[in-house]
Amino acid sequence: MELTAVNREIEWFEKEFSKLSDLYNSQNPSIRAIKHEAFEAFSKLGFPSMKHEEWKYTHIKKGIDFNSEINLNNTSQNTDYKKLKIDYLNKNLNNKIVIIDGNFIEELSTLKINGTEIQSTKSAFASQNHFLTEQFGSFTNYKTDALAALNLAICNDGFCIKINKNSIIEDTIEIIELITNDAPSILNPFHFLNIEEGAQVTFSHTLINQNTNKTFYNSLFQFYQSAHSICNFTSLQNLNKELYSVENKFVIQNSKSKFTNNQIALSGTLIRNNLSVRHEGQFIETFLNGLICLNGTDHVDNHTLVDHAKPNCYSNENYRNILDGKAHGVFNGKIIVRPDAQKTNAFQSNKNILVSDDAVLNVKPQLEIFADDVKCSHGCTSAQLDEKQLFYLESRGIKKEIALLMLIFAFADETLNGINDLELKEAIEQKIAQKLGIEI
Amino acid sequence: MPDETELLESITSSDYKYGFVTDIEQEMAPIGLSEDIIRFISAKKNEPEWMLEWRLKAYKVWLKMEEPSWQNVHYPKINFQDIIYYAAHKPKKEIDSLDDLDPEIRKTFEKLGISIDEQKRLGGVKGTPSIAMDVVMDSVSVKTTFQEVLKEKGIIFCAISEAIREYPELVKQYMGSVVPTNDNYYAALNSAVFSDGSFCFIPKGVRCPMELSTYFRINAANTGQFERTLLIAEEGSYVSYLEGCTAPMRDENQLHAAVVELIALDNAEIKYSTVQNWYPGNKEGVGGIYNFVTKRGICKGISSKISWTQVETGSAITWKYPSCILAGDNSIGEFYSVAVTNNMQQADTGTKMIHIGKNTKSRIVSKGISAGKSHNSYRGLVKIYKKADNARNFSQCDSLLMGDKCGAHTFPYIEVSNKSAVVEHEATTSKIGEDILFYFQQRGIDQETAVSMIVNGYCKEILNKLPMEFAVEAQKLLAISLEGSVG
Repeated sequence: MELTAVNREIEWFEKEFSKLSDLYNSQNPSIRAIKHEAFEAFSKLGFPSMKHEEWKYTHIKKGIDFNSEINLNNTSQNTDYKKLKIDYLNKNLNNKIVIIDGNFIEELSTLKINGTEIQSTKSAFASQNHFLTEQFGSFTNYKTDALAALNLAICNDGFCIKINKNSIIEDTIEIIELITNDAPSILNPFHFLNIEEGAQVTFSHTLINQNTNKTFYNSLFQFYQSAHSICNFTSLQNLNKELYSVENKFVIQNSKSKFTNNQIALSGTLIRNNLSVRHEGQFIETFLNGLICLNGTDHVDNHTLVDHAKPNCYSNENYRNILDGKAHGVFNGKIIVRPDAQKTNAFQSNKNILVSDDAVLNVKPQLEIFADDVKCSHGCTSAQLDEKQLFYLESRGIKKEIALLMLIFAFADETLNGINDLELKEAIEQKIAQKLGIEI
Repeated sequence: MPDETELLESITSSDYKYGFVTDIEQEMAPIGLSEDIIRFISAKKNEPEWMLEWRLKAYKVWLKMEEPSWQNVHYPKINFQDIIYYAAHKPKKEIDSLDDLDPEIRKTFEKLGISIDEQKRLGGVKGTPSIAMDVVMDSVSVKTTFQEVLKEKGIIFCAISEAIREYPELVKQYMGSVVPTNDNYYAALNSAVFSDGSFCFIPKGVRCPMELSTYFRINAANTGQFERTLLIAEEGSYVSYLEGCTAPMRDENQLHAAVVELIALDNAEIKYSTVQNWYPGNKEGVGGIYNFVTKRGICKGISSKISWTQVETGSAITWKYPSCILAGDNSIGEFYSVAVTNNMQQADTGTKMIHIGKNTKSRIVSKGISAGKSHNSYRGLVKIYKKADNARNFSQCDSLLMGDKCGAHTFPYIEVSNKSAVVEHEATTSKIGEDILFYFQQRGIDQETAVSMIVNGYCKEILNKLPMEFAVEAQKLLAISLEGSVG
């Protein structure tokens, strides 16, 4: 039974995929070769079911209606983008990259930022010699990861950015991904971020949607960080229903680089974030922070993987879930320490608060350690707010409801310390306060 | 530091001392598995018809199931048609008293340090209470001691095959109620072919006056051991139960797939301790026991308590999760474990704490020690159901790595559906700290003694939970597993 269902899905996918073949003929042959491999891999793997260990708590297939006509990628670009109302996090900022329905929008994006090169993925695919050509898909696990394979096989747009050697980008670069498409579709934007040696950059990334029909958004971010570089990336997901989002991030770090990811999810019918970081050199620092604050029937699933392949590296993870209503929070944090990675320090903390009786939490902090001279630990809790702290606030004349929200806000705020752009941090704090219904 | 490496090597290389074979006349089932074999086993045990049907039903379920592959252990596929499912020594005549026991068997257990004479004490520790013991060799129970003394209190302690004949109502009521036949692949297999094991029933309000114990010994070659243990503690009763096991050294792998079910009614307490020392295989990983066991207890009544303590040093592969279903309000589940893997051993062990009742509490303390080229995984589940108000869990999983070729892994699953639950989990992995070693050395304690003292201290919390006689045994075992330095 199960097998025939999978076969049907794959048949459907192959049929839809064949419609795209014309589009790919214009692409660079080495890119096409990888796409072909990814397609073969996906045809074997299919969409993961809940029987798959990595997808145990997230039913991804409900995001796709296999019986109807679905667009794979949105290739038409007829919308008048200027008319769209876009909720920028920083309205004064110039540095913007705008992706609408998976396509890079030149009219709304800043193409010239000092010290960088920005281009659409589509044009990068077509060019013969681009910084993407060599790296495309090289450190994603597309042979075993079905959704990475799906993205690589059919992606045809997104953005590529290179931060030039030793460039320090002062202003935060804001990436907006907006979904407006009303036809049922599966969108697969591919983004490549190449941070060259000694470069420093801060990104903010917002995923928002205005679509009214079921859309499956399967984006892939590929990061390549050269030695001595610093990258600070903040993702904010604030989605209304009808968008099923899978965000795949693959990060390669070289010696003495520092990568920080701040993942904030405030609402979403189904959000799955896969974040994999691999260390290719020594003395690397990785910070992964997450704040998930949900209510209603929202479902957010964060999977992280820190792959310590080299000695003397440090990683620190801090994820927090606040779950109200019938929300479902999932966290799976995996740390692998390979045999060579001696002197690794890896820490992971996961704290959770269930506000309502119907909220559900599933977490699995996971350590796989193959080297002996390491310090690895993880801690995980699920509990109530501190009675004493609550009493203190109440004794100062603050109403219990307000006091509770204040404490929840404080609990949430601790995960935001990794955001190095203070204005951005304030903007996000405002969003969280708004979500909780308090003023700050 | 070369001397440290040498030291670790000397500590972690060891010999298995229970690997001899007893030469006795044996009766075996034909090799392989089929309905006929199950009928054969059932007939050998003089079982009633309902038991045979139960077995056949389980066999049909098993045929439809697939061998699981999610666990973090690797081994060649087991050929289930290549195993002998029943092996028994041939009794020369009816055994009326202990003196009639086959002297070879008696010698075997003497060699293992197990006394089956009622007057003697286990482990030679003076002043300790007697232990009632059920001794199981291959597929049959050899002897159960102190049965008469226990009977006076209304306690039933006998081989499970005897219980099936003598107390069918109890067996019918409880067998399979905690681990259903279709629970998992090996539980289904066990339900179909189980041979012997212990049955224990503690009536209402009785505090069992002595430790109950079962000693399992695999002796015959090419066989699998499939024992089944059922332990029922009625309202307000208490029992402490111990389990030990060894096997001869052989080059082929032998399968041991047991099922243990515990039932605790209102205010009852069960303490279940295991010292597992099956043959672990040689240093190259040849031979050894595959220890695939399903152990589960249910705290059915209010304020009942089940406590699992295990010291796992043997087996080529250990794969088991002694679990507690906390169904009664205010019930308590505990799991204390030391798992030592050395050479090529693999262990994937942990527990499940299922909180269903209100105010339920659970505590997990797991200590893993990996040495040589072994792999040691902790896998645990803490599940808090929606109605389990004020549930409380604390889990601690520490791993100690000795050498740079071994691995330590942690897979804790935490599933919470109640806001008033407080769940805490912490895990650490490290090697023996240089600063700790330095502290010992500056106090004039040499490195080898220091390492052994640290390991001993690391496990102390668990060993303290064992009944005294077993604590002594377990400490000796740790010393053997990590070569002569612990003590």
